[in-house]
Amino acid sequence: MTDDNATAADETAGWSERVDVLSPERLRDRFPEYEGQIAHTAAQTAEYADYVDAASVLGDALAAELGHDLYEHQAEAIERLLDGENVAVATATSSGKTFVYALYFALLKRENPDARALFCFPTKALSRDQEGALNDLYGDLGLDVTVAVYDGDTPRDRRRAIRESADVIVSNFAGINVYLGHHRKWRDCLANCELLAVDESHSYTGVHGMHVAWTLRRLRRVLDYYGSDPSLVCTTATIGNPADHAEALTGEPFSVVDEDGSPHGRREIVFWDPPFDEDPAEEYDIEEFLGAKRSANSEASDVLAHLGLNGVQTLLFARSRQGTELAAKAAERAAGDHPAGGYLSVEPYHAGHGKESRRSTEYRLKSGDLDGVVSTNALELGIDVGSVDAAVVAGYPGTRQSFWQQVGRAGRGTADALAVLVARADAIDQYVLDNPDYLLGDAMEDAVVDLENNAVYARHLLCAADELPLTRNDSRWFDGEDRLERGVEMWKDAGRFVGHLDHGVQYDGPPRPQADISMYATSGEQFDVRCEDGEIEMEPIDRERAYRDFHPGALTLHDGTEYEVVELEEDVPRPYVTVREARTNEYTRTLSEKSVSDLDRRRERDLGGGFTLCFGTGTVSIHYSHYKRIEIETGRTKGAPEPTGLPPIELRTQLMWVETPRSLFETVVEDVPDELLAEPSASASLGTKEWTFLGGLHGAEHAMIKLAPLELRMDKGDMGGLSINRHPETDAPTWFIHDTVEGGIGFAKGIYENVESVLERTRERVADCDCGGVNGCPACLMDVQCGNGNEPLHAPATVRIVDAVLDQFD
Amino acid sequence: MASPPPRVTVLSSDLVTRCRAAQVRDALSYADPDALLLSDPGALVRLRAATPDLVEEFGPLLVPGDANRGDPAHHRIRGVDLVVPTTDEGLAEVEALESAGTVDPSTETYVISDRLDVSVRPTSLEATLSGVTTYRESLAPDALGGSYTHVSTAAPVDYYREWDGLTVAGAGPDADSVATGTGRGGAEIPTLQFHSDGTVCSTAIATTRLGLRALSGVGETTAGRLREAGYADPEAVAEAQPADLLDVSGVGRESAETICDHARALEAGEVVRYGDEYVPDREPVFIDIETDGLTPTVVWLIGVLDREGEETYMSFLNRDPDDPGRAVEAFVSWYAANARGRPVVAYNGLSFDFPTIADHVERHCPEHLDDWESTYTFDPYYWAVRQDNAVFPGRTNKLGDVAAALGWETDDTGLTGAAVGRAYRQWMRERTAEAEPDWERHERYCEDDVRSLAFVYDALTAAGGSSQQRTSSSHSGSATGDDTSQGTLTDF
Repeated sequence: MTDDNATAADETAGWSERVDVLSPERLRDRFPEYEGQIAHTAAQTAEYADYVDAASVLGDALAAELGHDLYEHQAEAIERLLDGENVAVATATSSGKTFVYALYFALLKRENPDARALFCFPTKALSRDQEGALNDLYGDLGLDVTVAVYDGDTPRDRRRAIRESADVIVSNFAGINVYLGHHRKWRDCLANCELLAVDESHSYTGVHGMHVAWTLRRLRRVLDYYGSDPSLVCTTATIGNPADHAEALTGEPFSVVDEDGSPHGRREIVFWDPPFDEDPAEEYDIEEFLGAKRSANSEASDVLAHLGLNGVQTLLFARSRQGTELAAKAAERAAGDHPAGGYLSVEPYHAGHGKESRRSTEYRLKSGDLDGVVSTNALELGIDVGSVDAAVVAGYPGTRQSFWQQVGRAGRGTADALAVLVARADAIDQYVLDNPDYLLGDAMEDAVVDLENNAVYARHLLCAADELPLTRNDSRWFDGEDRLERGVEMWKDAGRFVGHLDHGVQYDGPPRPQADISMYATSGEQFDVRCEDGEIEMEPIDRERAYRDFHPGALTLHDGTEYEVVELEEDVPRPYVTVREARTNEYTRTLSEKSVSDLDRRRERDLGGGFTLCFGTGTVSIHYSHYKRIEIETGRTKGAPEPTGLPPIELRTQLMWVETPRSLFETVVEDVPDELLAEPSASASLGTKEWTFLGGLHGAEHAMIKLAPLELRMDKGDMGGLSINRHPETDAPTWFIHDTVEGGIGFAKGIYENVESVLERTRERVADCDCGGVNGCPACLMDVQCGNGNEPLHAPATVRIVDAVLDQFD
Repeated sequence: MASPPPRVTVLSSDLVTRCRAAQVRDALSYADPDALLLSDPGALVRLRAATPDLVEEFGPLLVPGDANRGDPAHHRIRGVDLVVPTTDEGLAEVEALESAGTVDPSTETYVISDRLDVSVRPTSLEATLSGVTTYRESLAPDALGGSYTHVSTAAPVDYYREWDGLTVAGAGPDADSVATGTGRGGAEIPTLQFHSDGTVCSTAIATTRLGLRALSGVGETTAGRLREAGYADPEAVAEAQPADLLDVSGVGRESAETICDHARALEAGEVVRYGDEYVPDREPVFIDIETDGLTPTVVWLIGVLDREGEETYMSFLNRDPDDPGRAVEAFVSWYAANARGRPVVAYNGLSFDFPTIADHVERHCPEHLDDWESTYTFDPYYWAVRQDNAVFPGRTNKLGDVAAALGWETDDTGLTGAAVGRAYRQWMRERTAEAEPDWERHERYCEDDVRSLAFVYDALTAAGGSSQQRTSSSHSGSATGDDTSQGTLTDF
């Protein structure tokens, strides 16, 4: 990339005046103990705005009130809406996406004064932020349009007035799910609804995405009942599949607008790798390795201090609320220790702070009173804080889309901007450091919404039948007649439905099935988290997570406070776990035994040579049997593993697996020099060669799970795996990757569909890792969530196995 | 009509454990069953331990799984055969009972067990009836000539489903969580009625309305304190003055008055009204609708009582499911022509009857929609209970219980809304002479509901505002003047 074009940014002040602030010379002189942390730098050129005359789209009158032109993408999106298309707008942060549906509604309102609209946002905070902005906009346009938030925080005495009279109702999907249960109260709003906007739609993925998708179908079905067929708008950050994702969410085809017409300045991107405080020992386990490397958070605090002292106002993104508090203090301290020596004013920012305190921080940042703010991703979604000079991202946020959204916060108007990615000692972060083009290219992750999960489907079917009788016509909303019939028959057999699809199937269970939907889980069984000696604000958790992380004796961190789990109570109508505050210098890791059975192959690809890729459903049985306590300082295990006292649990879920020929064992171990063969752990009943081979399969499984987020928007915590030298059902060396939610979530399927590129990235990362260790390190093979304590893992065997699979693709 | 059907109250181990002996007694006195069904042998052990005298007081004990009572045990109660097998062999004996003439094949026979367990597997969209294979093998249903319903305590009360020719009904009081893991069961003590024509109906009393807790404003804590203070039951409280109750810790002046009022209302079978909230002053039109379910596709019967001038009762009945708008259209036209401007009164109408009619008017005869939407509606349940304008003397606030407590003599058709809806749904599916509902019986059921509604309404009006020693100001705080139930239909 070059920037020889003269840019608009040249005229404006930006951090570029002090452009050498992160130059190696400067850093060697001024940055405490600079050891060449900068692994790579890149620059993006500035872009001019592409404008379109607003009058050509909005008409003279409205354009005159607006008083400025439209960006090209805004104009194009509105035009397509006027042509009757549904539109997905996928452009950068701060490119004015809200204007698309807000202005389109202004046009609708001029045609039909009774027109109403529903705008949905992912968080209540964003809803309120946008309510103000939208009311201001319509005020400026001289339009009599009222915008009001209707959600769980709306006072009871205001609700009826809002339902009956607000032109635009702003809400969220957890709310819509409930309001559909009394849609008659919403009759006027629904009957006149001409526009349905889904803002930040990329945030609806995974289990939550499935719930939103079915809630949207239920909403559209009720709208249809009242005679409405509103235009649909999805606005999304740049993702790989905006059209498919919007269609999966809503069930309607979309036209995509992604040619961004908004301007931005020149942006410099710095890749920063924290150093080792001390060299790790020859032999290390995962805890010792992580202890030796400087954390991304501390390193990012130093970068923030350095930038602040050079007059560069900076926003630092940390991954936890506690992290923001620590980093803000660390940055102020680091400023004192810096050679430039001085005082900096830095504040933390996250959703746990009160509204007043957040408003104050936002204002002080805008006014230049603060040198820096350390935030969670609370500031990633559209809340307006103005812009800063630089954004530092402590730890790769998991997706390119999220990364660009965060660094997009830097750069005032067309002024120059600086972005720094401080990597963690993690496979995906290290991959990005080694392959900056991965981040800098145009490609983005796909957002996954999988509608195949029957457990989620069935729950929304209960609600739908409660809302309006279900008939065959409803197969258009509920994935075809076959699935609808099966779902209806099941609930009739269970006594929850009565009637027949020819006349109308009705709900006949306890009142308000909508209240039983948990928008983040697939099974009905949710565990509340209670605190013995105070309050704890935490979403209910599903059973698998409760067994894994909340068995009695487990230590867990939540919002910066440490808790010990004292009780897991399941045999009650509403299961719960009880925790109490604790102060230890330890944490716990849960060990598990796992098996996979009852495989039902739905798709398979014969790669030849005895290699087969499969996708299907199966039963995963996990026994979280023991846990160990580990000292934080030293990473040493204290005492023998203790039993959790919990029985095994079973999940019927989706899996992908790789079956390999039995001859692979010989091929792989032959190549491994004797001195590199792994020594089986005391409890293992395998020989050295078998143990090494298993380490290769296990390594491939781990690394694929760790690197899959490079392709798909997913959380590796929703995945699990199993590797085995000979599985009873496949009768061959096999590794499995499975979803960890009942019924599946679409991630295993996503890996199956993208397997070649996931394998390629896996090979690259494992082979290139500079740990050089046979057992790998957290940046390649090791994973903190491993139920086997990261044993066995074998990097050379992993590379050989992955190569053998990849060879079949050529 | 034959004698009323046998009433069987169901108790589980869980219910017996959670209720105090006095509450169990209270529930049984209230339900007054002909037999007691204990859903598991453990329930019998617990009941014996808690209140040994109760065990024999309410007719025979039906205990699936307890072989000491005969296998199968057989009882004929009010002309209906109840058979309780314990083992496979006992189940196989059913045929022998039939061929020996012990059970009457011309009436429905109920086979009561704990063996048919309904569960769902949402991940594969399948429901299963565990135990059905062995059950069927032992029973050999093909060899039976009579009609049978298989009642299982492992399926929830109100469960009713054909499984491949086997009619299965539920009798499990705790089994509500079976299907979805959303447990709200176990909060009520159910009583089932087994009709000779195969209709199964249920009523229930909430465990939170037993003993002293029947009094409004009395929770478990206050009940305990009242007991300590010597008030054993609502009758004892009815004899007290509010001032006496002030000595009970945690009871303030206002709640003492409420508790006394309610105790007297229960005791005397009267309505107690608070404040001077407005009730309609014109003679209303009383209605009740019958539908095919809770989210109705058809309103097939509307009972209407018009007492202005010469009292008339009308039944708008639609026997033709292919013309689902007929009854609603006929009623709305009649109303527009004959009663326009008068209030339409329905019990729980605000939640069900009024929006349902509006919906169906819109769907089938939209030309009447404006008329109907401007209709003046009144829901005595909402007005009294939800808006706190009055206390009813029933153990529950269901219309039947309230009317009975006020002294209404019911014309006992033994039906419930659920059973009536089920009958019509079957008619919608199978247009055969056999499936055709007994229209006359359903019309009588509906008429009884409408007339009992008028009876309750009269009691409400007669109670007058501030009729008790209560001053009108003492409750003005909770009467919301700006959001009453007397609005137009768009207000619900």
